[in-house]
Amino acid sequence: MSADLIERRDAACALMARPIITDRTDPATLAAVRRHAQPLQSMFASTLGYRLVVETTFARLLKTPLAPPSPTRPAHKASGRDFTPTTYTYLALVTAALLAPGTGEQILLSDLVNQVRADAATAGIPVSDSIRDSRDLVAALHQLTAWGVLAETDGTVTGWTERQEEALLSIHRALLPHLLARPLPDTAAPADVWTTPDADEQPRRSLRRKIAEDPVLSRDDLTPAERDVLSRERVDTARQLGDAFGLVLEVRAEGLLGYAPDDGMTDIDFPGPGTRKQAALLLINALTDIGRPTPATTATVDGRTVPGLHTDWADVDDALADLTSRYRKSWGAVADDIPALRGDIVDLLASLSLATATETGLVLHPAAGRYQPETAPQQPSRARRRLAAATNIPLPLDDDTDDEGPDA
Amino acid sequence: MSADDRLDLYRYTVADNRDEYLALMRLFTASLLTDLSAAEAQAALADHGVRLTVDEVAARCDQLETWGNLVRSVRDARVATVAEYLRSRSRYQVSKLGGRVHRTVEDLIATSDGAREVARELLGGIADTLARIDTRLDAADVDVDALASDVTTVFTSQQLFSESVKDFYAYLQQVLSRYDLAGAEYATFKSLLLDYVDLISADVARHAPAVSAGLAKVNARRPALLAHLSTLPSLSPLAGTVERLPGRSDADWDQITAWYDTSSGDRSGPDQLRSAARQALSQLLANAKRMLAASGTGVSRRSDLLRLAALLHTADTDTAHRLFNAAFGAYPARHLLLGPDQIDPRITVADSWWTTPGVEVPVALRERGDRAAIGRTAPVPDPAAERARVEEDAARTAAAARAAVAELAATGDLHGATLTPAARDLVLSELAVLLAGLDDGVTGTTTHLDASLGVALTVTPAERDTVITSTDGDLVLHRLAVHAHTGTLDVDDDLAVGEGTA
Repeated sequence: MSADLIERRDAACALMARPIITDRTDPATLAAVRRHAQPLQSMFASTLGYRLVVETTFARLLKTPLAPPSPTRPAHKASGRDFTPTTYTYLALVTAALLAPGTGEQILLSDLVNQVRADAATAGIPVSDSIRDSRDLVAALHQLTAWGVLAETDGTVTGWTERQEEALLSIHRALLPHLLARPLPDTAAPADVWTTPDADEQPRRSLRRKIAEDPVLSRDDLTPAERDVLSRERVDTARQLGDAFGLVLEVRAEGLLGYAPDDGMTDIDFPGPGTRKQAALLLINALTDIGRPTPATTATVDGRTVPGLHTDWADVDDALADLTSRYRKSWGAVADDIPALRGDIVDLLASLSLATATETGLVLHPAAGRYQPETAPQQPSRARRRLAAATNIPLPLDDDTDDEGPDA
Repeated sequence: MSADDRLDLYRYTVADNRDEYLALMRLFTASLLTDLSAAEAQAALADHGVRLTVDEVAARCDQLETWGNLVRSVRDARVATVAEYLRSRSRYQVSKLGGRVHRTVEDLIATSDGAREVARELLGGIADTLARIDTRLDAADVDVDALASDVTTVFTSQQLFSESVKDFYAYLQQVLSRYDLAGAEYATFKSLLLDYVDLISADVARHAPAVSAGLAKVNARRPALLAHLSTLPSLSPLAGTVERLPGRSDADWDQITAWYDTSSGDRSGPDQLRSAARQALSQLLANAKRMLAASGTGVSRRSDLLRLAALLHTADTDTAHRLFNAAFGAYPARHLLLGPDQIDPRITVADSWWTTPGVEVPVALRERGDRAAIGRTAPVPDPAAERARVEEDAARTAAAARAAVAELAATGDLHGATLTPAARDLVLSELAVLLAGLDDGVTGTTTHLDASLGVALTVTPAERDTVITSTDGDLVLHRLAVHAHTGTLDVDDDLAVGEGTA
């Protein structure tokens, strides 16, 4: 592939991973996106139905809402924890305050907070001066700064939490009109916001969209039209996604997924570095060893029968205890609190659609089977065969050398 | 009244019982020479729907009198009782300044928020009137009344025009400084500016020179004009300082002339209008640029965001995450990692994930949970020892070569000489080079110089052979006489032959 196409694919992956790019936050990627603005815009429009806005100072990929089986992508505070509803409320209020008539290119933090309070009062949302609310407000401001909408020109925003310190913020006014991806429907039910009215549009495009955004798809999650497209035009779809983003399509009996051979287009690296991710991987392997699932194994989730391996919570805890005892040295303090570790692992797997937590146990999606260590018996090498013939010692039936770890 | 006292006249507009004060003042200024007692005022107010007792009305009127809006009036009357006499004493009427203040206040209340029309048609009128004044002064029998009416007309027109212009431009400035003009609003203001302002500027440009010319002519005859005007009956200066009608004094004429005087820098009226129009247009352009820079339609509306905030506030955590993703559309894609670069064609779509071979997870990830390579890095080898050894070898070889050269030079003529193997090898190599450079053998005396070693060999064809003896054998050079000596290259590249032994 030529260097130009590789650069375009990298720019497309960068946009899918970070849909808002500004010259303040990421000038190199913005330059690449602007170089390929035209082909990228047509590619996104035809492949996924997304609109890409490219300006001199920012690039914004406007994505459509995620429908419920897809895992949510929460915003994160600086500590790594997810946003709470209060934090999201502050985010919406601050953005509204930035659009208030009379705000210019810069604004004082105290003025912004006053405007937020005034708007909250008008909208009937109670806000207070407590430390927790201040922290939520600051977290919302940090998210806007990370997107490039605000920049701290003088002073820092974190000073507001404890001491209400003043700061001067510069506003990227050109980007403000493009923060909301679509007009909000006039409704009081949140579910109406993400049920798109154009759900009956092209199944090809919606299938590609699902593959490009979600880690794992089950066949049940697809509409009949999409299943039809998958069965008839699998190769075409795979080629389009591969050309555009470098994703490789893996289709199996239970579902399909697109994986990235080299990590560029994902916010969670799995398998990846870190104790929790390693623990999750090992737990998946342990549960699969215990359960020995076959293609016919099913489990019940929310009353529906889905393909997957069900393990009782007691067995999950036992397996986890076994793992922590084996890896205690390298995991350190994390290994001591097993319920917390189990909670973290289950959250991680749920966010990747690899597992679902039910009341009775953990249901592993069949896609978790792709991380099994090689268990199919290998053919013994010629030297081994000769040795066996010479010494009359039979070959072991199950030659699972992989389980011995680094070369013994 | 001092300035402070005069400002008290406005206090009734912001006092606590403001509505009642306003109703009272409206009553008193309804017609000329209205004077009412408290009781009559209360009755009249009741007709208008304002319910107050007589004492309250009396108190209000007292307060207004303190501030200067009303004054007591005196009317002689014959009454029958003491109470009636006392009551008839407190009659009020509006004061001069109080009346003026109230008129301004009523104007302010009644004025609209929008733009005010500019009285641009008056400009032409002013020019014509000035011309008429000039003509009247020429007449033999000056009609002073008509003259006076023309003069007053000029000044009142000018005042109305400048006020309306000021109001209009102030409104324009206020509107254009908003950042959120968009769409239909913007189109309205654009037409307002481009059409109306253009109209005003055109009128001013057309009539201002005529007015200036007219003023110049009248100013030339100002003493005569003022003399005529002063013959009119007017209020005598004995009645305190009199507020004269405009146009009766020099100061007024100077002022109006200065307004139209375009030569005095930038302060004349038409110039101010022009610069104000220019400023307004540049504001408009800045707004237009900003709107264009916002590249068409962005859908973030303040009202949408406020509604979103309300929705988010009452949602639970999972719903809040999904609302955030849906509304902002800025979520990252998420994919599993690792897999073969090319899919294995032996696996079909009917196979299950449980039975197909898994992907290769790097051992480091599975065992240790990190991707870093382990083990120490190898130390970088130190080349110093190696270098020293090579240098030693080189030095040794050079020393051997030099010894061989010295030996050769000392020998000179090589016939029958005994040389070390090293020297003999040197002779052979130099001879080889020499002979290789000759096309058909040695014909005459030839000398070869090896400048790097500093040795030269001279070869001559001879009858006898040259025999060189050394420890590992003899060398016989047939029919050649070889002579060795030291030599260096001269600057001119000539062979400089050193002293050699014979």
